Amino acid sequence: MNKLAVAAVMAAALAVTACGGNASGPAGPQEPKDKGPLVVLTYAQGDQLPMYQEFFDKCSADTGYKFEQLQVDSENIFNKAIQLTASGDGPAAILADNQMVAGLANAGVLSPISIGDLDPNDFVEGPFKSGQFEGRQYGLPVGNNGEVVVYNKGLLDEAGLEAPKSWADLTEAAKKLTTDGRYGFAQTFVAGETLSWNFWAQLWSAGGSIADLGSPEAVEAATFWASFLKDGYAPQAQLQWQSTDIIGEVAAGRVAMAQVGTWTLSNLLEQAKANGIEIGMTTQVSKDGSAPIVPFGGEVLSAGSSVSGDELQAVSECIVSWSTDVEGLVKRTKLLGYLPSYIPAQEAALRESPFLTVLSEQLKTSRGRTEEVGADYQSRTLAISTALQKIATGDATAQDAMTEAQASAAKGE
Amino acid sequence: MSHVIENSVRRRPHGMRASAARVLFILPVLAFLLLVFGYPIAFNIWLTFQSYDLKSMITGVSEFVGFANIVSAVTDPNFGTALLNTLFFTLASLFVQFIIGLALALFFYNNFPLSRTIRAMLVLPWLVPSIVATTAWRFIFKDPSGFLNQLLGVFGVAPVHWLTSNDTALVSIIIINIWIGIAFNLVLLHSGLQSIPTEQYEAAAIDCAGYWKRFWYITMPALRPVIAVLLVLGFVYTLKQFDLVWTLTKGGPGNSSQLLSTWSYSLSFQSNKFGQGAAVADVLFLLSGLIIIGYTYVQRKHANA
Repeated sequence: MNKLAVAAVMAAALAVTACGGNASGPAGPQEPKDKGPLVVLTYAQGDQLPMYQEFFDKCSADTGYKFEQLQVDSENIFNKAIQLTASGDGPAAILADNQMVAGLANAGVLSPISIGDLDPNDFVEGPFKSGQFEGRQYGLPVGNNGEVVVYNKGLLDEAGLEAPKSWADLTEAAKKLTTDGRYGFAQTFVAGETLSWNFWAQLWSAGGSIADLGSPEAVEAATFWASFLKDGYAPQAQLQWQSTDIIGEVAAGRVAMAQVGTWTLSNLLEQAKANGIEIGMTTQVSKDGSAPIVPFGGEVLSAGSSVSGDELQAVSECIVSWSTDVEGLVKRTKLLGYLPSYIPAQEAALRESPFLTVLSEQLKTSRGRTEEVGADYQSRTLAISTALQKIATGDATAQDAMTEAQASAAKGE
Repeated sequence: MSHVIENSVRRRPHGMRASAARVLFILPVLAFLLLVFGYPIAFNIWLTFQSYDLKSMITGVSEFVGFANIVSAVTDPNFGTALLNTLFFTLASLFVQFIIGLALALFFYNNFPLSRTIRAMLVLPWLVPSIVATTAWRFIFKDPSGFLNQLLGVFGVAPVHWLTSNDTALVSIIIINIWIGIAFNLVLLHSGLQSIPTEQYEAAAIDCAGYWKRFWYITMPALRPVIAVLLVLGFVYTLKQFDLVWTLTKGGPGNSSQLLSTWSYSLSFQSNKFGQGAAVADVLFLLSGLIIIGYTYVQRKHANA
């Protein structure tokens, strides 16, 4: 009995460390790898999957290769791509967030593509470059999203306020519009990329850089961004709210202004209309009220390193048509709340979704998230979101939290 | 004494064959343990001393970096927070689970109508997959209008930011962990109670021993081996707790509910710093190892006494 118990204890202990944090994760599902299907690794969900498949079927018809989607969770796509490639079963193409391209290319998971006689000037510059790493083109963008500021027009008019442009505007408006049962301003404060990427515009507008989170400019920007939660103008629950949760609050009149993702806008307009609330939209704010430099979101379709020769050629062709076929692009970007990166398709897309006008304005002065730190971006994301949460909940001063964030992120780089 | 020695001398050849057979029987288990437990641990320790990054996953190439990963991990400002949180989480969960589990086991010792049914219901939390349980708790703790806050509202209490405040996030998670762990304690202690011979209680009753006397001098000593196993298993099980925290707060807000396990995962799979993640996992391994060695030592002393 005793020996059995000890054995059980030992086994349990061993099992603990086995899953405590080892990096030797299991390889992914096995796909046949003859002349056969070219696998596109994607984190698309729901309606997107069949719509993408329709597009890839066209690619199949054009190139003679069968394209198949392999769907994974968005949090895991980075590691999955690497695991599959490491086990000799790498995807032929990867459809992933543009900030991942640098890391994936650096790890050797991507192949440079040939874009034929495509003119780079037909693309918005930043997004086009987001398909590059160290001067080589690995993929092309489909379209871009971003976060914009939405507001309850009636409430702002009533208080005699204009749409906020500067830090001072936003702070003043948030203060004035916060009442019993209503918050002035909401932003998502969920740990990870959700929080970090909605903060970068403020960091840049203060003159800071993602490469140095401990700089006085970064501390100033973080103090500003965390102040709404800290001062009670923003709901504490936003520590767990995504943009989709926030729009419900705006549409119900419980939040006066918010920074939300453009993918939620059509939904917000619909809900607000049903409640008789008029919604205004404007770009993200900046320190002095000038046009903000914002990070652009959106996916890049890139080629995997496991394909070469004719297969790579087929993937390249498919990537080019993915980013340039105007008709399909308008359809895809509408569903995603994106504005096409391909300029000839933008006009048609704006006609379909006029509420993206603010986004198109913002994109003109946008910047890629990996321009400053390249493949080290991922560790910055985690460090900054932890620091912002600490400042907002009063767990640490802005100076301490940001110094720590820089120290943590820089370790082992 | 002498005939014992004679006996063993006479039987030596046969004894050797027997021990060879014993080794043969152990081999499959040994191979299994090495493959399933030995390899991952060895890999983890190897990883601790390597400059293993995303590139290495593809190329397989990494360099020996000595203690650099360990130094980086231990000097990280988050290490202290995660370690203290882990110890508080483990000890608080263990203590409260045990007390409530013991009280319930004693309560169910005497069979009464429906006692089996109620006991079965109390074991339910243990059987529900933790991802399901935590999703339910997410609704209960939801900010600001979760079930618990609505319930408190009935009594005029202001809503509490259960999972979104750094004062309450870890405590909320401990509450859930206790809720899950009570069943384990109840089941083991209840079966331990059943194995105590009733004659001992009858004899004590004849000697006019009261309830507390019987509890301290009969029940507790008889339960000691069960309690030891319970606490050691509970410690190891609680120390590695991961999914609960990950689904509810991901260690936040800030780092207020960060445990060594979640931090190790973040380092490895979010920041791609595999060596540092492995170093943190080593700390967990070390902590469980110490407890188990201590337990084995105490057991052996008892057996020899």
